[in-house]
Amino acid sequence: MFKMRKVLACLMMFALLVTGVAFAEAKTEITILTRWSGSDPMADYLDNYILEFEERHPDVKVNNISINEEASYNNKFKTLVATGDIPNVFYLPGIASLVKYAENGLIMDVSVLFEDGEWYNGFLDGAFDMFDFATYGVEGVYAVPFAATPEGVFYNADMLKEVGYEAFPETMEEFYVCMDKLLEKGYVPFAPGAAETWRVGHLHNQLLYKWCGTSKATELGARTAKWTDEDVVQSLAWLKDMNDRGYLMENCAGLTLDMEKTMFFTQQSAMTCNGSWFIGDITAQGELGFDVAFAAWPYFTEREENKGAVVQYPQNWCLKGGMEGAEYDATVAFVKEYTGRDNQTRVTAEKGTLPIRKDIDYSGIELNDLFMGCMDVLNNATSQAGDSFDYDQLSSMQDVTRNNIVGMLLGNTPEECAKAIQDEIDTNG
Amino acid sequence: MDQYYSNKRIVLLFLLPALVIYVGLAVYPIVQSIVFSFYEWNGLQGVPMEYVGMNNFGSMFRSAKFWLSVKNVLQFIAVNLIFQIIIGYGLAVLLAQNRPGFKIFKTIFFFPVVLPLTATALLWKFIYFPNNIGVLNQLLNAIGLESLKTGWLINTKTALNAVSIANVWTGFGYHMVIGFAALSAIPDGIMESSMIDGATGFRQFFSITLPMIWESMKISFVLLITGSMKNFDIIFVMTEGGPNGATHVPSTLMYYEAFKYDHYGLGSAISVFIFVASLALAGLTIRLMRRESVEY
Repeated sequence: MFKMRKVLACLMMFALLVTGVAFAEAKTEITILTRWSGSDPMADYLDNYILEFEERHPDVKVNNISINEEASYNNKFKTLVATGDIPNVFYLPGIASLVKYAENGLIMDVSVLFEDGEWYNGFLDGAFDMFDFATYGVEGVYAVPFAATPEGVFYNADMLKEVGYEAFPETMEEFYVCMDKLLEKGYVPFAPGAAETWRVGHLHNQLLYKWCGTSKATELGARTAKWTDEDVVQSLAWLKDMNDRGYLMENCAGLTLDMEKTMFFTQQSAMTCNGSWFIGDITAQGELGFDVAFAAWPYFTEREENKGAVVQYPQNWCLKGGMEGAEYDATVAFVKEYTGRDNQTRVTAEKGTLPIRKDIDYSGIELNDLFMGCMDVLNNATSQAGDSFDYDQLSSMQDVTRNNIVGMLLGNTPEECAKAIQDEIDTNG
Repeated sequence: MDQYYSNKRIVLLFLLPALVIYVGLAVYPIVQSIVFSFYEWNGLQGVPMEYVGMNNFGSMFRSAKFWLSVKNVLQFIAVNLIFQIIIGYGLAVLLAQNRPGFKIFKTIFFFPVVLPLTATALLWKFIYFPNNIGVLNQLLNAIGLESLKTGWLINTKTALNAVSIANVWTGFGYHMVIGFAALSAIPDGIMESSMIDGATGFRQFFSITLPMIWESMKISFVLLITGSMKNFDIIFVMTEGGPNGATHVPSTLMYYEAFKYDHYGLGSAISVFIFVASLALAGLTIRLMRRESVEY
């Protein structure tokens, strides 16, 4: 009996020791969900950043569950949200679509982080403005931007020189003449991979803001403007006109993004409307055999007031709401360190992405012309906006706007396109 | 053995594991979908569902997108029924003649069935690419039929049929095997007797062969109708319901409404429609194809 007690006591001691060790070694786990995985140019950078973050914070374990492919990403995110298993840090495109998450306390009001002046004051002026939801009736700021992504035209400078353009056309009128000359030479001006509908959605964003101004996006979202308004229909008509004149490759609705890139890199098309993220794609190609340059989308002479209207897509991380203690500290540290001066300097140097901060130390960074071109566009911007549906709380608007724009390129009129989009709003929201 | 059968407890015990799995993975989700279809929910955990009665069904039936998807799925079913049955059973009849060298064709024709559907869909997507990129357009170019070239998957007049043809290619082998098995089960004696009685060719096929394989064809019809009704993957991979919603079928529409537009109630209502319509069509098919069983 005594022996038995001794054995039991030893077992209990051992069990306490093991659980004690386990408790001592327990790490705070945080989960991050981004689009940077697989073949994404940022995937390796994120992996390294996580490794280094874990070295700096030995008590934290970061679970990276990022997915590159859009549909899979959305499915995973929605499933996690529906089951209450929200990642600590996640990327969610859009602005107004975040409002319902903010209203329900699922994402964190990051304005509490602004007390750290060294971190906050280094951001570009107005970097957080897009995520201040006061206009939607929700107090607070609900995302942290991590990159600047102005969009414009990446063009084959050699092709444009061949048709007589040393510099990119500044006005739409000149742009039309330039594209006619390209066509005469047998070059396709644009070959958007519109099978992925965002490719033509982005083209329309440019025309919408250069024609109507960036405030039109917020007005459409706030329902003070309609898609059937004359100026909005005209913005659609410009795109239709470009397609009808052959400036967009025939049957571009069946081309994929990869085809679009291949056509540009193999000099089968002269231009691509893309954001600063495209610099990574160009760099990854190595020697192209021709010069690529970047310019702002041309403006309409009769709407010169919108010359500085620039499309800039929100690149932001949301933080899970309701965090406390070690989980909160680890999550905030992860985001603040990534968006801090040191890492933003490094990501600029290594990946050529545009930093979201103004306190970057550019000494020792080799800045190429494309980077400088994007910076110029950003610096000359008088107003900025993302996708037109970013400001709309109706989840279906992303698909509805883009699908109908594709439908317009396939034969519908701008009026039919505008009506179909407006019908969705009138029916659902 | 009878002792075991008479003991209901033991019978139930043996049935229980399968029953639990079936109820948990099939019956429960169906019931849950039916329940969800009477509620509206935005997909956020912690946000209560709101009871809306029949509103989701009302929205569904008022939606032009929904009726287009119903028209599309009926067209998809018709094309698949006609071609998969004719090609599948036609090949089965040919192969059942057991001529030398025919065996290899059984494997060749069945091959598309074992390929992953996503891979098959991507393969056909490459075939249908527009301009001179796709194989089909290149072929038309090569044989002097440039005028027929089109963007097969972006032309609203051709997109759905293009997807249907791809689906026929993936499925006819399956029905060929079902048909072949049915034909193989017909006793040689019956065929020989019919020949002695003077029935050959078409007369023999329609009077002897067809009645003998009727039950197998019924299975093929039901499988094709229910399979086409819930078809999602091939359409999603090839067109994502596009261009501009022109190739949506109820299952892709359900996915978009629920998982992209956060209309979980409406999505559930569409899934209930798919369930009921599949049951109704399958029941109708069985009823229409009912005939006296043939015994030999």
